[in-house]
Amino acid sequence: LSPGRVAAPPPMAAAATGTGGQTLGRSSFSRAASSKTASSSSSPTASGVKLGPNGAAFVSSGIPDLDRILDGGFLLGSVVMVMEDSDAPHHLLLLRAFMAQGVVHKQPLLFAAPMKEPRSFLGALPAPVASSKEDARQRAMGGGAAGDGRASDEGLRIAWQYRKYFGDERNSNAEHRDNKQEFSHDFDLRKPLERHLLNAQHIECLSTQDVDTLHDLQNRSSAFLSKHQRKEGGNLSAGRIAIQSLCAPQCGYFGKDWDMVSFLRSLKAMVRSSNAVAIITFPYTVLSDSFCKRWQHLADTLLSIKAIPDEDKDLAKLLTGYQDMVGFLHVHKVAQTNSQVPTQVNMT
Amino acid sequence: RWGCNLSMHRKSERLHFFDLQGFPGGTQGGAIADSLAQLYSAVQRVVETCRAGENAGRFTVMIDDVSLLEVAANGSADDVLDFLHYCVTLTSEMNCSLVVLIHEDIYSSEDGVGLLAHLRYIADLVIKAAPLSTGLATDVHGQLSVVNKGMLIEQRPAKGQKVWSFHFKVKENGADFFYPGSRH
Repeated sequence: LSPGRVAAPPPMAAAATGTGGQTLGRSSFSRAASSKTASSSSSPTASGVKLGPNGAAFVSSGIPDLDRILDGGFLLGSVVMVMEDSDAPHHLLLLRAFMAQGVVHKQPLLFAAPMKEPRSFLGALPAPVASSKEDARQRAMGGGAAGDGRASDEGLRIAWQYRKYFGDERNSNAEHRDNKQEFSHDFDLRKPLERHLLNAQHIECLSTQDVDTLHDLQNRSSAFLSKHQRKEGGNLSAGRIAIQSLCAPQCGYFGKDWDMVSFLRSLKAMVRSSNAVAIITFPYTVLSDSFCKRWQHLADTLLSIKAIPDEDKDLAKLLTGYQDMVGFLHVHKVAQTNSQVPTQVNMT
Repeated sequence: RWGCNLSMHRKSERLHFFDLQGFPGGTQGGAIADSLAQLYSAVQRVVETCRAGENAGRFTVMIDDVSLLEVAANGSADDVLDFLHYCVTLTSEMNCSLVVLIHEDIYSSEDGVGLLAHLRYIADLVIKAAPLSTGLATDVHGQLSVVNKGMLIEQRPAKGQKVWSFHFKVKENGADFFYPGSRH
């Protein structure tokens, strides 16, 4: 486990707290149930935030493989921008995973989209695949009978289970399995997220369709982010902002190029000083080259999506599993904090 | 990591930081020119103070970055250019240097040539950092070209530009610059 934000107390203090463990001065490993110890641990906290080197804190993108490629996940305080493929809605997969992950971790969410009823999009959020803790318990009990009647998926689940044991050192620490949620989940797009999770959650929705100015979105973002201000040594609760198709033609402010980059610039400044991540997808083909470049430069993390055509024989020869693929995800730029060395994107 | 504590220098007034994240503060139209004028006055005051004080010596005004300043000015490139020209006067009057950062690719299309062309014209030294033209590499992070337009040296008339090309690798505590091909 990396030390992360854990400040090892001096030996005298550790003895005073009476942790009962053999290790002095390393409170993160003790079984002491004090909430102070639990929150200072560097493994994923209940709020779904992971700490990394150089004071970085990450939340999951909702796609474990993408978290791995980005060397941790989405950096808190950063703006992620996704260039959409104008011919396909695949960017919605990223948005759904991002939003569902936030809901599962009970992280407040602000969602804006050029729809009449953005709330209806929440019904399309996927449910997480059964957690590994659940499966571990079932395997311990004898494994065969899946208590909730999902016996037909048994083979599938166990195969998925093995993946968890490759290169994941967190699993070796049994103490953390009990009381810590997973940092990231695999989501099953065929199953919708449970209603009660959406109702219990702090989710704000905003429509950008037919509004001729971005002031409202800016004010709502500002109010949302003010609840997630970054504090020194404060409790790491994260917030998520998801904005779909920010420059879509249906938006009333479409064509006001300078207003849009101005909004992006102010959003970036607000997000930077907060414990939140903003993801913005945009159909870049409707922007001029010059403004598209401005948008790209404003992103901390920049991704783009390219749909794979259905019947491309050349691609079918090049790619194994071509039939199952829907598109390419390009990682152009990865956000970093407190380090100037460019990230070597993790492609293993 | 570079062995330079910015907070400490800020306190001892060797570093003056103008945070433009909130600039120009909700004003529109003609007020942007005013805000930029105010910014220039503030910069000029700082330069004059430092010139007179114990830190008299080479002073550098650094603008990061002009493309974003243009966004802050809501697209008014003329106002930004005026501001930049005033900053240029500081270099001759106050014996200081001016370093301006700009994103070249924003201005490569027909409609947005403006600022970049002006800056290129008035600059004495043009440094361009770009990714390696040959693709990704672990030991080389990019390429750098330096064009010295010869105006820095007063005695010699500018007989032509001098151009250098380097490759560079960024490290935690600095960057290495080397001639292309001299690194394995």
